[in-house]
Amino acid sequence: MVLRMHIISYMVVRSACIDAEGEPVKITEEQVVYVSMLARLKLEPHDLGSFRQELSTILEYMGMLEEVNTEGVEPTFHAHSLTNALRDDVVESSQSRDDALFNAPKVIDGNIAVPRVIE
Amino acid sequence: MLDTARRYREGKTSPTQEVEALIERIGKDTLNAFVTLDRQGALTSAARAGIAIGQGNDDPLMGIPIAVKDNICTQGIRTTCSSDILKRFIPTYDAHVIERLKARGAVILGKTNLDEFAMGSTTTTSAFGPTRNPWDETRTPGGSSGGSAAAVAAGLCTAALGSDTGGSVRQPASFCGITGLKPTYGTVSRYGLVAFASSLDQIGPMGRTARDVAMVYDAVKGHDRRDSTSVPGPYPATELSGLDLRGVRIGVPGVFFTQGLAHDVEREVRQGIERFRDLGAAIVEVDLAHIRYGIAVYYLIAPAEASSNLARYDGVRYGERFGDEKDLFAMYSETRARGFGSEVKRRIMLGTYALSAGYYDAYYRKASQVRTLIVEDFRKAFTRCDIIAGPTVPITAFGLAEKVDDPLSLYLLDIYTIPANLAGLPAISIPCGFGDDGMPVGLQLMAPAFQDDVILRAGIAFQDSTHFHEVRP
Repeated sequence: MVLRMHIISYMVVRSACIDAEGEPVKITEEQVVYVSMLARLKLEPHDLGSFRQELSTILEYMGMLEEVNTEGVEPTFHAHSLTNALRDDVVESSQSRDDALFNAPKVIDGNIAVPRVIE
Repeated sequence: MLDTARRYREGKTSPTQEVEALIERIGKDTLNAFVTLDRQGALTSAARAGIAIGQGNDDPLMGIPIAVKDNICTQGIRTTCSSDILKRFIPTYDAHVIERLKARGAVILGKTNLDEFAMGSTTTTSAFGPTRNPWDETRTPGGSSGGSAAAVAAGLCTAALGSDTGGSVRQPASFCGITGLKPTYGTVSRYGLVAFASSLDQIGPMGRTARDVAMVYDAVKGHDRRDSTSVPGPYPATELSGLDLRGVRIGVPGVFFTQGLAHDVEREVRQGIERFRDLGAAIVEVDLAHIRYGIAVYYLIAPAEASSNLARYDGVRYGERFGDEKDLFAMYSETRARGFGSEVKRRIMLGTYALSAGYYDAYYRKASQVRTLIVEDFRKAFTRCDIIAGPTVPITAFGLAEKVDDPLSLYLLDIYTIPANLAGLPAISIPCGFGDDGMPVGLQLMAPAFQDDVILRAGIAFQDSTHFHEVRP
């Protein structure tokens, strides 16, 4: 079974590599560190190499999109083109304060407590 | 389900008896299908349902035991998304679908296992351990709604809810030999569904038969203003009779039967399509030229949306908090590093990269443009046919012990299910046979948006003339 999956992956990845124009995508360790900072995700040293390798493989596969001519094609961000759904501007009750705080990891005097952000 | 409803009315059993029996079986279950069982709540609502039935209530959902994927919020019952970061999260409100089911008297048995945050196709990335396939406990039930699929297949509930972002209802339905519907985007409110990729996510019903699935779909569909993508309607009830297939055009895309499709899956699916021909359908070839880009498009768009949606798990408003109490940035990144598993982190990283400055146009925007081409492919195909048919998954369920070292190999298994999510179309997986290994094979039917009833009733017609859905593990 693993063999079958690898055949699929080999065939599709190979076609992507052959069809894609330009250099194969490579992501550097510096980029991995930068992205992890953007994502607020602390990386362990061993994560660095594996993320670099896995993301490179995945992005190399994504390279197949380059062969598609998308000139003048509008992007689709949603399946149906609904416009904004607005309700009447009337005051309604919503979640109570107790409910809103119920799952907060740290609460002091009815407020969510976080590490100091202002020096 | 109709059977159970009838037996309730004939006094042969009661909701309380049914629920007690199921709780006992779930307690002995070795599948790890459930993350949380709501014994007390289930017995209370079963008792209430029994009284209602005694007073003449004739709603077929009254007292029916239903399992719910653990990424759908249930008031007072923890909702973990099978993640360490939410392992103690107790919602203070019910999701829209839960309100709907409760209003109909259905009994919520408990919460089922999933791949962490619904990201995966094996139910092995769960923080609560993998779920096993009732047909062969050494194999995966599929995912991410693997707990719901296994519970239905093993008879641990009558029906279940899953969620489907790229195939997470249909793929496990296929692997476990049950029926699962990914409804038209916007027809089932996402209010209370923990967001993964909001433009693709849709809650879907799972059951043993297309009739059961249609009945649960009818119960949960409908407009809800708390989900701004909820479609206003109308929402007519689904007829529970089989579709008359005479003159119905079933499109078969050649691209679905090329590289990577296992020969035994192809054989069963082709026989399934022949069954539709026997029932009077006309089989036509259709072209979906951009489908081959579906995986690349999906694995840019879904992680991009996920990276944004999962930014909320920062140790402030809910979920676990880890790390330095002095430094906010360190607290955020420590909380997320310890709270999320590796697949979730991989997708957050991928999505963050695809959205970051300098790469947005090349990846996210490009993928969204190719998504448009896929939508247009379907629009053209549906001028030539009424239903598109093909396999749900290229293979049958594989062994839990089989190590899949590169994530891309798993992503590629989503090739047939992803397109319906990208285009917002309804799609159903129905059992159509068994592979050489004895594991179930699923046949997928897709229809134009808002024609969920067409594929549901085509599935009913198929099941009225076949027995694959009646075979039990």
